[in-house]
Amino acid sequence: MREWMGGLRAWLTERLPAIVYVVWAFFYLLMLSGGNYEAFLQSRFWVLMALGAGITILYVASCLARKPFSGRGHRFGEAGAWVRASLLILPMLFVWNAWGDGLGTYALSKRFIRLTTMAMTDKEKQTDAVAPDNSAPVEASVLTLVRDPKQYVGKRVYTEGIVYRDEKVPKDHFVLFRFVITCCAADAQPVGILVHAENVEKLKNDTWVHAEGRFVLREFDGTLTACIEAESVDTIRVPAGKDQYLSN
Amino acid sequence: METNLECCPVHEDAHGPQSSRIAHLIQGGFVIAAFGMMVFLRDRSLVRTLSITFISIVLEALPFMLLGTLLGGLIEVFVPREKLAALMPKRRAITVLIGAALGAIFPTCECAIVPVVRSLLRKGVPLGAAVAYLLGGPIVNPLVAASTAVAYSFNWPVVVIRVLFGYGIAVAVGFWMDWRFKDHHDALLPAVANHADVHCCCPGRDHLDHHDGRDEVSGVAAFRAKLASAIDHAADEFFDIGRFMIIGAFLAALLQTLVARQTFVAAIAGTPALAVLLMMGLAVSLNLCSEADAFVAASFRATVVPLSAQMAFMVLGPMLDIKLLLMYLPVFRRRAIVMLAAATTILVFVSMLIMGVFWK
Repeated sequence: MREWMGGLRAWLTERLPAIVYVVWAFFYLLMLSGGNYEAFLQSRFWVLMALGAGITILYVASCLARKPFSGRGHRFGEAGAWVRASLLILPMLFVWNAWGDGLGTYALSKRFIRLTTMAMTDKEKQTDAVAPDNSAPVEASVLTLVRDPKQYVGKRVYTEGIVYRDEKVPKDHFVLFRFVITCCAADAQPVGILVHAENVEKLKNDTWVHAEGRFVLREFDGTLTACIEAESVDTIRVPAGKDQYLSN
Repeated sequence: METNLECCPVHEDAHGPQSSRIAHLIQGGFVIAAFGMMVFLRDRSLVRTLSITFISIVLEALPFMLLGTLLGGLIEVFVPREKLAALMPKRRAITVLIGAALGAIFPTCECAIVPVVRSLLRKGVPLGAAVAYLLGGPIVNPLVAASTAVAYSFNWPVVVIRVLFGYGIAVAVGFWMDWRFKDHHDALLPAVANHADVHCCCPGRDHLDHHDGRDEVSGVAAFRAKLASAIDHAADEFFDIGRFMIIGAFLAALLQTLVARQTFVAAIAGTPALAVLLMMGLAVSLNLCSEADAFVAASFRATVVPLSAQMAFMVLGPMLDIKLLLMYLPVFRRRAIVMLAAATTILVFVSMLIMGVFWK
């Protein structure tokens, strides 16, 4: 029995590099299929996934083309080979935990700096004179509302995002935010707007909502901030991982 | 089954047998701790955020590293040492100046550049030039310049300053490393420094005498054998050094998950030197891709963080972060890594303080 176990161990050690590359090749193909990678990366990065799959398949072929018992796995010593393989496979363990999930208020609490609007001159920030527009609401992402507020001031809009509230936010308000990805979720930056509505105290952090109402600019925490005077706020289902982020 | 591998320094354990045993223990402990975290704490918000951040960094960086090892393998097999030496300028100073600017022609990110530099060093590229390419490549780069321009709303002076400082610091550190380590064996691991002088005798390798690029067979068969050998080398290289990227990515994700950026902003108020220092610390801990870091730096514009500190974040990050420091382990001796890190950090700090005086 001991001999058989020893033989199996030697056989496995020999094939560890091939096993690692097979796992990664499979993983990259899985990420590519149906755009699963978009739960972690920008959509344009399919090229990276294809590149990863291509090279790992090439490495699998290289490992399989070697003579049996060539010593590939043993090249780094038995312990060295197992440590290297375990570390290279380690991310798979975390994929299991991250699958279908997105960044939420915990990440927001670490990455948030302040609510702000961009690309507006002082004159454009004077919104008192803007006449309300009563036409049908238009769809606008949180990012668009923050980046290009002047286009929407006075108009009826609807948008979706995650609820966040802390002691700074008044009871009849909450922050509606999304994460914006430049390359991957590690660089995801939160962008948020205020939502003012009645009976929203019960909304818990991390809830996904659809908010609809008039878009205005309002002074909050010393900054002119994008805000929706909401006519309705409805809870919605958490979108699939790949639909949770906005792109820069 | 025992195999004798001592003949081939490419596959030597980097820092000697004793050090390698300790390293295996630490790395094994790291795997067990990470596994324990997954089993016992997986439902916590902290661990879920950590998982997403970790996977994102790995997914984005790994293809670049795979590509880097493949390029390294091709250089290893197809580029003869003599030809490379003939191509290089005779004056070492010029090789440093060129090395720091190579990213402009071959845009490479920091994860891909390390395996390429390892191969170039094995082929006899001077230390200073290799270091200059290592540090300058991820900044002196059209893709990085474009992303910086977009992040800073096409504020071109910001782009120019970032590229110029990146180039200047890469050149300065390259010169300094060349001067400090006149004998490059003092800076490089034996597997990197000695490689060009040995012939591979790894078991199972039928390939050619590829390390110095000489042909023993001609025509298509020779090309195929060399190509197979290049891929073979690349696969081994990745299996050997890929783990450093994984550990670095995990530590970076952990820091991103634990450290609140707001605390940096709060600590910085009114102290430019502290602002530069803290933003440098943030750059080292966040391990962002050089094409994405400008967007994070730009998010500090509406705060008390001065431009010099934002620039320190954008210049230091692509040169030095936790992931990169770990990836340098299979290339440089530890003393050389400390020197490289110290020189880069001091130069970035001082130059950003000076910049802050002239441009607020």
